[in-house]
Amino acid sequence: MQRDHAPHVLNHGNGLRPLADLPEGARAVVVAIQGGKALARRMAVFGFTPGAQVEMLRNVGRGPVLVRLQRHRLALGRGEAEKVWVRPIVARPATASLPPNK
Amino acid sequence: MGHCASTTTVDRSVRTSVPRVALLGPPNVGKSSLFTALTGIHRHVGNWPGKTVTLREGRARFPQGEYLVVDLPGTYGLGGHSEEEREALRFLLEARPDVVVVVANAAAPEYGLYLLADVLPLGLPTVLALNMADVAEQQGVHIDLEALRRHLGVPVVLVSAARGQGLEALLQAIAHALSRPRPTRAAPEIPQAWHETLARWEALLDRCSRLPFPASWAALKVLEGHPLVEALVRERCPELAAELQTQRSGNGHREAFLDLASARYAWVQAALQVGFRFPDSPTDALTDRLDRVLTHPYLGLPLLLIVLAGVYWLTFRLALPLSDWLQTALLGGLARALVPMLRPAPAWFQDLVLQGVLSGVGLVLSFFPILAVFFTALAVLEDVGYMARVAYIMHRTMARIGLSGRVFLPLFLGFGCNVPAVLGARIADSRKARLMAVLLAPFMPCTARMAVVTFLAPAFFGPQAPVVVWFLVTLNLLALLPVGLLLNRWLPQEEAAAAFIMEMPPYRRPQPRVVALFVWENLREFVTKAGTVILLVAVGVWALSYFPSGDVYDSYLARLGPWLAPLGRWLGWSDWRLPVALLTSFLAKENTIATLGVLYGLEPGSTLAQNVAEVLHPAARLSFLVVQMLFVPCAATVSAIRQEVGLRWAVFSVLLMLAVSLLAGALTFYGVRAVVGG
Repeated sequence: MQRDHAPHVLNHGNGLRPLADLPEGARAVVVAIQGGKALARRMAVFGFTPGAQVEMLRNVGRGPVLVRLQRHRLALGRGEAEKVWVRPIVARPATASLPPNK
Repeated sequence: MGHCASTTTVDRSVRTSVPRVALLGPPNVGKSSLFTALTGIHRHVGNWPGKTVTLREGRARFPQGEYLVVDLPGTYGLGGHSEEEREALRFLLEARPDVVVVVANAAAPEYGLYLLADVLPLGLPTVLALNMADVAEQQGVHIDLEALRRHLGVPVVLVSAARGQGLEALLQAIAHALSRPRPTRAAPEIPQAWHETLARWEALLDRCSRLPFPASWAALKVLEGHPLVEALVRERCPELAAELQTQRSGNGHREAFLDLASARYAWVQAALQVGFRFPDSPTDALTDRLDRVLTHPYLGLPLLLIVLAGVYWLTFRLALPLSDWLQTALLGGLARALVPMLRPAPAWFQDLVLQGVLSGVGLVLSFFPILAVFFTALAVLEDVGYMARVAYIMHRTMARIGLSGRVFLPLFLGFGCNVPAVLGARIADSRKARLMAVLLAPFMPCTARMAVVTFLAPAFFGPQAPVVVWFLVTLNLLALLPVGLLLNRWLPQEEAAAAFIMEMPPYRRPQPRVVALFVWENLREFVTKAGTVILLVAVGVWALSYFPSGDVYDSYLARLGPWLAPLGRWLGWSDWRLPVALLTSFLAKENTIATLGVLYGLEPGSTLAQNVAEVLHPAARLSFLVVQMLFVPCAATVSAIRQEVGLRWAVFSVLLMLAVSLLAGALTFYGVRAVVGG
């Protein structure tokens, strides 16, 4: 997965994951686009720039995914979705339900 | 066509006096709808400078004056990454419209505003049209036009092309932009890190006085690594080429482009903050609900097959009777009217007109209703928003042969007619993908082939006919996979592999005007491209079947029989007339029937299909239908392939289909005979 020219920060260790691993209904912030020049450009034109928010609409673990980016719905091939690194937004419910201290 | 072909340069003297307005916008913003609202459907296609570019153009007439409106291909940016982007940019640079109207979706304006950010540095008078204002209002989007105008420095108008609202204001804004040479405010800020490099490029490009665009803009695009702009600079100022080459090495194009794209999106966000107030949650519940079913991982594909079957059913149900009527009533009447007029002419000439020319015209006419219904159905599916979902559903299958789901859309057109499928392959992202789509298009079972099969199958197989027809269509679609796999492996790999990113527009009601435009354009394409070829080949086939003696059984065509007979026998066809009929299907697929009709003649008491069925073993009947479905593309398709990707590939396509069809036919014959015996 890790490509030679990919920034070193892109790994699962620091809370980042590929967009392809985001479950349905989850939201995330785009951190970086891996891969070649042509792909990065096309993705950027569609709004996949660092800081952009995405919501996963459909992801069945194989095949293309459907995401919402701003007010647009986009279909993205699995390979492409694997090259978009995102930081999931952890939803904080109003009624904080942390497990009680043991 | 082509009266504007002389306007290749910026030279104002050769321009028409009517101001030219270019419509530019991303897909799915109702740009076609706006175009037809401004110009009506009565318009022609202009041949603008550039390779094979044909752009829609039409005149917008209103009390205060007249504009020539040119509809540019839908595009997300001017980066030159796709054919659409290159075509749009080439027009802006080389034809220099007087005003650019950037069309955005008022309910989801991001992509339109991004395009505006990319266009503004060009320095052309620009207007922003926020279309689909009715949808935005329905969804509770509030738009502050005045604030947007001040912020962007260009005229901004709200329009609803579907309802014909706001067109007056748009025309006024265009007039206003015309009176002011330049937008008052420039585009997004360039990130600090690139200022120095950019200044260096600008200084270099400033020395090229023959550029048809501002040096500042050219510098921006060279910094981004824009192939088309670099090529234009090299072409206009060859003396700068060497310096361009040395300076660009080590230039971080990828980073520059991403930084600039980010800057544009930051600019878009600022504009959204200033001018728009959106409801808190996305309100398009209908689209969410429909997508839950239509893009379902298990339901999506079966639903697509049902939709396709419905389109076929509608096509044959509505169009075949009309098609028959055109052939019998209209052509029969024409023939009767011509007979007395032709009496003084020599016999061969009478035959040429009555058999050759009229049968060609008849073929073209008989296609007309079929394609009209089919294209209408497809246009509705497209305008409703379903076609984008088709691409999504088919992506996994297409990815197996190295193509993206988007490429399935032109192939889908091939169910109607292979000619628009071949032409539609232009939407593919890479050269290889386009070539593959062109070569795969003839595998799509077009309506003409379906007409032959539905004519013969009932007599061949009785009550089992529907199953056989279903089997034949499936066989054609299944053939796509192995052939696609081989082509993908065999054609040279490309660096830019097919990336699949595609917008799924919200579902909406179809607009009759947009549907009519789609149907009209595809039919026009069919008549001009396929129609003329069919007519010419019809006359050619007639000549073969008439000369030398005027008797078909002694004609050159019949003399082909003994040559083709061994091939036919190999496929189980005991009769020389079958391969000859198949050969004439090269003219147009449904010619198979016409030729069989001529060769078998009409006997009272039995139909043509029954006559053919009598001389064939059941296995041979099936193999005949299999070969017919997969046989070489028709003349019109071959000529379209030649036009799109060159003669070499057109010949390749013919040989490919010949090999596949004969192989499949032989396998069918020996396979079935082994099972049923005989």
